[in-house]
Amino acid sequence: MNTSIEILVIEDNPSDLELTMHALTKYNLANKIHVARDGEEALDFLFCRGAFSGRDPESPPRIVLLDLKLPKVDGLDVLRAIKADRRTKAVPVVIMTSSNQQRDMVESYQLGVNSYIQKPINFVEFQEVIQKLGYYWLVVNKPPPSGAFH
Amino acid sequence: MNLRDAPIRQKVTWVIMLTSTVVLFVTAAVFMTYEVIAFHRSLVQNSQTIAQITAAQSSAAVEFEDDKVCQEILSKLKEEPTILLAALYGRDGKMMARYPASSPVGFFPSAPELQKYKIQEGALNIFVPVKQENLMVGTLYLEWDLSPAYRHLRWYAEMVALVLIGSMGIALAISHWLQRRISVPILELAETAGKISRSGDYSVQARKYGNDELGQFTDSFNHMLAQIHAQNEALRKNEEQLRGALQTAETAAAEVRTLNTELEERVTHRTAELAAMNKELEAFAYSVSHDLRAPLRHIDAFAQILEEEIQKNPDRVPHYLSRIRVGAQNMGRLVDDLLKLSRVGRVEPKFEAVRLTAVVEEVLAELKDEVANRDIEWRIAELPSASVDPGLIKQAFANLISNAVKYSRTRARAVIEIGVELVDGETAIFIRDNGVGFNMQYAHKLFGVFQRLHRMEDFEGTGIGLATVQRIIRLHGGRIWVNAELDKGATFHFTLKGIEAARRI
Repeated sequence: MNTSIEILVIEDNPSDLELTMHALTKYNLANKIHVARDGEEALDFLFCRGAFSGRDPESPPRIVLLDLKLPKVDGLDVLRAIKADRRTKAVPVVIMTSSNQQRDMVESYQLGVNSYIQKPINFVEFQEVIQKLGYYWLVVNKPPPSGAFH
Repeated sequence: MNLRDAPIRQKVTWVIMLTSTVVLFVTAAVFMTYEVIAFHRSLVQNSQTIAQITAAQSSAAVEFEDDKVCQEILSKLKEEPTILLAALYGRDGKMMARYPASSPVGFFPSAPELQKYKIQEGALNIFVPVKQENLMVGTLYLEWDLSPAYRHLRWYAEMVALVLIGSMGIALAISHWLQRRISVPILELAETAGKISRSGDYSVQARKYGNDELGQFTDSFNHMLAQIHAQNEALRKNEEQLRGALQTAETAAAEVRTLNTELEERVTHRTAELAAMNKELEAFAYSVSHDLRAPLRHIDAFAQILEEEIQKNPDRVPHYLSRIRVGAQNMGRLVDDLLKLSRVGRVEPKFEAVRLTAVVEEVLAELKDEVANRDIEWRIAELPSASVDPGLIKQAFANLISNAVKYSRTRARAVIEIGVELVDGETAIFIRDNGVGFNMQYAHKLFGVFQRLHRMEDFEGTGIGLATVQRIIRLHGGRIWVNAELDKGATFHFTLKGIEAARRI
């Protein structure tokens, strides 16, 4: 395993972030996590711009957990940017949202989201979802070979 | 020239002349024939009477063959100058006496003829039997000179011819006069008709000369002309009316088109309004599903964690409790802001003259506690009066001013400026701060419901305030826009339809 970031969490709400981190920590998935607090920061991180200009763009995270409701650039725009770029289009993106709007779901799938999860109101269920999600994408799922999309 | 093509006056003359001439000739011929026959009969009768008298006188002399007496009797015939020759023949047909006695025998017929009379070589020859007690004893021959009679007839014929010529002259004169009476009205009619056909002016009338058929024809013609004229007038009027109607119709069509265009514009405008409203409604639904669920989720989750951690990490308890409270507060604020937003537009605005400066002062008074620990330099210019809804305009000012206060709180000394200036000829109110500002790239999202340009942890907020302000400004027939620069501050401008022109700027 390399030292690159494994999980990129894009979440602006501090409470949501804390809950996500709490769940990830509980199941020992909290290694190598980067948190972006809005869409702009997330894109800067992914495409190594601005504050992240020193990062290697060829080392994308293994999974992106994306909230839809974000300041400045919203979640769907972030998803669009990820799936439109050669360097990041292979990165699995999991949308985690409070929204149960069909419109969001349809658009997300059209943009190529890999998984769409509505955050359960019940926190026990939420933790289970985070656990399954981390296990599946980081352990069960085989990532594309490095350089497959270059 | 063909009679058919001859002028009507000639035709009339011809007709009259021909008729009168034929009549005159026939009359004269009949007259003359009768005259000749009558003359002839009377001549013959007359001659026979004289012959019979002479024959009667000479019967005894002939019976007794007394030539001398016979001669004497014949010589008395000189009383009748037209008797050229006379002779008496005896029973045996031998000439007994002749008159004039000197004339040669060769002039007479050698023997009596059976024919009673015959006319030859301008003379009438008569043979009359001489009878004595119904017994024929001889024959008397008389030859009459017909030239005086023919002279008389010729004179008579000349008279007739003279009368004929005179009559024809009179007929010609009469025909000329009659012809004028008949042809002049016809010619005039023809001329009138020609004039009309050339000029197309049906308002003229033909002159009437009498109450005959021509007069009736002229009346009919004039009546026809008057009718045509009236019909033409009616047609012209109809045409004018039609043209007028057409023009009216065209005008109406143009109006309809204009109205249609207006209607289309209104429909487009209304559709845009409805679309905007729909978008807001969708955003509202979105918020209910997303923004309103989030704090509930948080409260539930942190309560759960608190339950788990309360034994293991008692020092973390206050943190989780504060998280629960934040969730509840967020929930409350969202509900409040949504209520405010939904009230704008649901309640019909009541416009009245409001001093905007007074509104600003009111808002500042209410913000007093919030800015108590802040160093803010207020630069507030005198604002004009405007016809606005006082409650709504106060809410707009409150949202904008509290935004300015909120986003400038990282400044050691905040500068907030409220004033009025002309922008593109329009009076615009502005609220300027020297706060954190934002990237103009995201300016289009600023007035959308639940759209935020700042992280929750940096600046709290629901993303409803500016949407509410925009809705209020639109209700006042104005528009709102923003200029900002990241880390330099933001300036909000808005116009109001009911604003009093600030002439002093």
